[in-house]
Amino acid sequence: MADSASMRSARVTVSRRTILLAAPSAMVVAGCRDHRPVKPDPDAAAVAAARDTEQRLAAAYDAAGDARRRDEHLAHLQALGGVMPTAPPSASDPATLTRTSAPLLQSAAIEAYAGPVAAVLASIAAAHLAAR
Amino acid sequence: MTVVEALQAALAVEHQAGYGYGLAAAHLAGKPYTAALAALADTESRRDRLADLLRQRGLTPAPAAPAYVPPAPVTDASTATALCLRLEHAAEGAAWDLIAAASPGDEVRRLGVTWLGVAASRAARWAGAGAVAEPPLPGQPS
Repeated sequence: MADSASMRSARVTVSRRTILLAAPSAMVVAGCRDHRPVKPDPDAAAVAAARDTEQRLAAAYDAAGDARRRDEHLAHLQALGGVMPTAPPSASDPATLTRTSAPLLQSAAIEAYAGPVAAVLASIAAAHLAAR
Repeated sequence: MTVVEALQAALAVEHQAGYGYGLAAAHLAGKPYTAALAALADTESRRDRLADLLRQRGLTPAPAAPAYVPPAPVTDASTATALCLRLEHAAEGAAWDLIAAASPGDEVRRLGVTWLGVAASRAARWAGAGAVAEPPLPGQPS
């Protein structure tokens, strides 16, 4: 019992020390961060274009009352880190946009800098191809 | 996962698909039979390309096993179609990993992107029109 209590006590001490040590370093890092140049995300434009397409498709299928397709494109939008705006732009011909966007998404996937981004873009393209 | 690991895993999936499509085709007729044979030919072509990509890296491609055990008995057209669907879902996963591991613009990335599109389209056809809801993001790790 005594051993167990001392072990608990030691853990608490280490835990507190860690917190006390971590705080000043965090402040230093925070101070440095303000002066660091922000690197542009090389995939930002491709992801933004894909989000715009998915917003248009989700809005168009929502207006058409096709909940299954709307939800599919909302899932794509979510995977791209996007959300539906309050007044989303809508595609006048969602079937055509689905078809024409597939090769564009595939090209973006091939050129994407980050592997996980490439996989998401390629998967959305694949879903658009499968929806034909 | 490294690109070599992804290539070896993709090759293993295509070895299984080659065996699986041969087994499935024996229980199919008409359009599904033709589709299974087309998928088999495509799988064999991709298997050879994957093996070439491994050889280009100085590696020995893993050979196919003499036989594979299907996840469920294949006894008729329905179970054969279910096997085909599972083969394409496995292909989607392998293609996803290949894309994620590959470098931008390189041949492995291109192969993976094309493969994922083909596998998702085939999976949708095997699943049947509206019969089974396909995942919104084909190949995504669960």
